[in-house]
Amino acid sequence: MQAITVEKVGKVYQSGTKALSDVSFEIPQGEVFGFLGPNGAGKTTMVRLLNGILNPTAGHASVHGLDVTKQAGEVHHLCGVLTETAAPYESLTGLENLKFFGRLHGMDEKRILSRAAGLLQAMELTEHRDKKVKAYSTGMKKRLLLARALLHEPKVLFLDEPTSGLDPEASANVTAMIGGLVKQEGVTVFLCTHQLKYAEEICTLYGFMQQGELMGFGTFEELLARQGGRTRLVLRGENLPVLAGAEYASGGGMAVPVRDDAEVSEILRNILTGGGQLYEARQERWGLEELYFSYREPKSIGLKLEGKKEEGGEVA
Amino acid sequence: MNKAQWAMIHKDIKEITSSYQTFVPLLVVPLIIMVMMPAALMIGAQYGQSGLPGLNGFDQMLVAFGDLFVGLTPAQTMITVAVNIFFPAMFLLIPVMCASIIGASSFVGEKEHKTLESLMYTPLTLREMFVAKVAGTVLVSYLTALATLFAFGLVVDIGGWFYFGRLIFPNLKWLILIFWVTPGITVLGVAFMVRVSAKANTFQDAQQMSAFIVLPIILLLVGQATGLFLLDEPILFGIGLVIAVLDVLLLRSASRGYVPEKLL
Repeated sequence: MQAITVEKVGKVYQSGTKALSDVSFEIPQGEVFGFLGPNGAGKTTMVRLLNGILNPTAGHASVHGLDVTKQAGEVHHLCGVLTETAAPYESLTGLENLKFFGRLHGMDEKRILSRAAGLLQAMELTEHRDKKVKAYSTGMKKRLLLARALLHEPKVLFLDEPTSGLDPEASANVTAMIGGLVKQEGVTVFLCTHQLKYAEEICTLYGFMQQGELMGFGTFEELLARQGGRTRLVLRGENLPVLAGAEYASGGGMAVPVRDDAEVSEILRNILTGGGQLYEARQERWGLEELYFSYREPKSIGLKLEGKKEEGGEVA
Repeated sequence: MNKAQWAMIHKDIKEITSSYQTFVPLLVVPLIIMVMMPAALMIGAQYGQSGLPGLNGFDQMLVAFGDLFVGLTPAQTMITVAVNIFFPAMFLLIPVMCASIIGASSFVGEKEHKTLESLMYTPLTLREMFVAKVAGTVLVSYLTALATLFAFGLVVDIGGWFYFGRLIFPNLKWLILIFWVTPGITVLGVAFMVRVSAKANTFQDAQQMSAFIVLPIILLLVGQATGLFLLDEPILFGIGLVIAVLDVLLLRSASRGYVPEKLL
């Protein structure tokens, strides 16, 4: 069953800004979908659109078969949303926030209290539940937002940078909790993040966005295969010959795309027999970071890769 | 209204009462205008026996009221003028002020604190949210105005008893003001605030813009004080009618503009 279906969706704001253009994809239930792209790529617009807050100017979208435009209220019962643009009430306590949103979701008081108690405990907020949210740290607020998103037991979870502002331990707990929801309850996760390492750790399906367009969609393997499935051979040495497709690699070496071990063996033999001196040779398989940038800027991938690695692996 | 809408109203009231920025003016301004000032009048009237009637043009102003002041002592005249001419116009500031402060907190505050989008992700429709917020703001503003009037009535009637030997508040004019004009002007203030909420991004912005709605009441007050425009019962009723029509028009227009693209 498809949890989310997006068909040729476009969105142009009243101001004339084009936010999404002809975007189509399908996310099966129980997947963790990483929706990746720089600021302004259209990620927030897509989240708002899939939750029926904004209407598309072209195309059609549905969540668990419900039209997001015509059945927005029912979609809201199915979805939980954590985004940095949807804050908690700072003048209310943590528990009051959960009670309020539970009531808006039509939950009865008994269920609200029982769910809130469990979630506050899971988020390690039980002892802070009666403190006003304005006294919470950034990490505590983020955990409260996650508790709020999970309160009504959603089938689809939209998460925008769920671990930013969390310490490593809390971040690991949140990641484990998301994993548990997916495996045990079949929840579908729509994850927007700039942290590619985190996305690689948790996601099973990816969508790469740039300026409102979907540049790539699929599993890691599918996306990799579409780009030629390139593994790189990184070489460092002296008197190395100019090889076809070679790119500059940091540290003075070069990186050459290779198909398989046989090609690697041949390249190395040619270098050594041709008088070249090799100090280092290693095969590098693409990570998500390389794959992501190959879809964004395919022609300059080599140089970008090296630069980005030094910056620590976050999307702009 | 459904349970979710009542939850929204309950939350809005809780937010208003827990914020000094909104709660202090709601408490202090009515206290000064409608309790301390009339109390000072009641105490001071006995010492100003010849003061007010001696003012330039005051005699001509009294003529406009026909028999209202005939046979009254100077102190009684001073109290009657204040209670029936000055305080009604002053009082109108209260519901407008309440509506603008509470409306700013309820509508613009959600935008300023990034909580509006949180509400949009709930099953509550934008229309239900709009109705709940308007109803909650009007309810709290009107109740504050009524509570203010109750306190005003206590001061005026207790003080007035010493001068008149009877209750002097409320009379027909006040009843029209309380039950006809005040609800209308409260709704007007809220509707104005909803319009403002689409443009203002902070509570302070909204407060500055809301100054425009106080202007007609200030002019009314000036008109009253100078005798140029005196509020009698038919005029009050007519003002209430005009305000009711404006309410409908403004609310319709405000609800049409209450859409996500303008709010986010």
